[in-house]
Amino acid sequence: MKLIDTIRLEFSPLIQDIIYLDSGASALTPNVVLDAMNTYYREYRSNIHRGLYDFSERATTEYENARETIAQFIGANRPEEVIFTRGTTDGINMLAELLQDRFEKGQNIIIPVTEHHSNMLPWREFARRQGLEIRYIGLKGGILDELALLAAIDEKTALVVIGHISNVLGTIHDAKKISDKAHKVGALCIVDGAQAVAHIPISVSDLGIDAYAFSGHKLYGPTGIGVLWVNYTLLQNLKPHRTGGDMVEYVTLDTMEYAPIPQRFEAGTPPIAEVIGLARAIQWTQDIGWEFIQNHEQELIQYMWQQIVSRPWIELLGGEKSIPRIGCFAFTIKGIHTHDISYLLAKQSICVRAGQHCASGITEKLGIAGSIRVTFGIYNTVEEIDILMRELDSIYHKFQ
Amino acid sequence: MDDIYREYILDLYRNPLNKGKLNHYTHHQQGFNPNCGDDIKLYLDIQDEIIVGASFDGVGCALCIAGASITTERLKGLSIAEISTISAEQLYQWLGIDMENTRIKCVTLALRTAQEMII
Repeated sequence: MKLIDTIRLEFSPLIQDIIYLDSGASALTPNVVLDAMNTYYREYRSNIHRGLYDFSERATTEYENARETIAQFIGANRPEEVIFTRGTTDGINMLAELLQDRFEKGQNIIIPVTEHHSNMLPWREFARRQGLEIRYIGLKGGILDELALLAAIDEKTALVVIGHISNVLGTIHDAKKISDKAHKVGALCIVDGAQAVAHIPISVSDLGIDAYAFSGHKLYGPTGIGVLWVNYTLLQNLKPHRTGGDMVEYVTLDTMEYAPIPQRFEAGTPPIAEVIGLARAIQWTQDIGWEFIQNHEQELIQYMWQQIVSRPWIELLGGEKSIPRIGCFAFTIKGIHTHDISYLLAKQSICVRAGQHCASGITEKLGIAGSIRVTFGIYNTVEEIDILMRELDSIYHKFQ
Repeated sequence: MDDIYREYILDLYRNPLNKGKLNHYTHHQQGFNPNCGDDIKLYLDIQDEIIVGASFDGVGCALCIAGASITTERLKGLSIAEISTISAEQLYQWLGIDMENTRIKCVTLALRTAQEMII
């Protein structure tokens, strides 16, 4: 059996003959991850960092091992830099709270218009509260104008926020170059890695950035779990934003002493099963290996390009073929509303996304109502692209 | 191809009825479906409590545009009081389709906008 067939067997929804092309919204979850979470509930269900009994020790060990797995996976210098969150949105909101009162009124924050709302709205609110000027960076040639972004950074810049990969255009941004420029003026660089972690190897240390947020459910893990990675030096200077159980070392009625990093940033009982599930998902993808994942996804990307180029009525967003991208293709078809397209595809059990994809800055700049977005995961095949294209042909001709 | 996309609907989408702003109107209101992006503006010319002119403008899916075409067509000549008597089922019948829950908001956008306008 080919590796791709073995991989597909891990995903129960695929057995029901659906064609799942919406992994950019949420990837399917392999059985090994479900099993890992099930094992926790069935065999050692207990809280972490508390009980002295075996179950609790095992839960604590699995939970902290998961942190190490994740730290290694993203190239963190130390596991303490990994803070568990509910997802990317939660992580970025958390960071926006942690960074309060560090900047001066009149400083600026750089936000690309390509950002997902999760990496735009928390910072807009942050800017409003802190009195920062917002500098939006627009598009050039259909993609983020990175040169304009670099040029916009000046000595008054407090923060530069950037999606590692656009969730609409699929284009990969040069986070290292942007971060280097931000650091030259003493600004922080915060990266939304939601679309990146499942598709390209990451090293937060090599990127030299200050913070990186991502979600488990786009990485073949469960929902409700995400990671906020923050550089340890910065983390040491941040005051916990939430208080409660498990984040304190010592409490009297008049005093409290924070628990060590990262526990001080994880108040309350975390989603333990989901943390274990996310680590299992990462182990599973790493057992398959980046070489296979990237070769396989490149094959899908190249094939998709051929199909799109041979259909001039498909208007692709996101610039030229030479621009580095992941398997994320957003497009419109002239004369057909995206809702009609996605509905008719859904009738054939083809799952795609239609609309603004939570990144309305792009649609606003391009002057379009929305687009159809096809995103690939590890389990997709060329045959599925053929079926998608056959249906798109049929829809196109129906509307002519 | 799905049943609700029959030729009549597609024809109304390609060649909508009453599309564009009325030269003379007394009432206008926006209708918006945030989930799918249907975004229309409805114009009514009401004289002595009778709708003498109706049109719409904007963007939407095939079902939204077909629904707005037929709604504006049928509104003409009705009294204000009669607007609220038009049911969604009546609209589906005029369009000749059996509706599914997921698309009801598209088809009825113009009708709901008209009914909200005169409340």
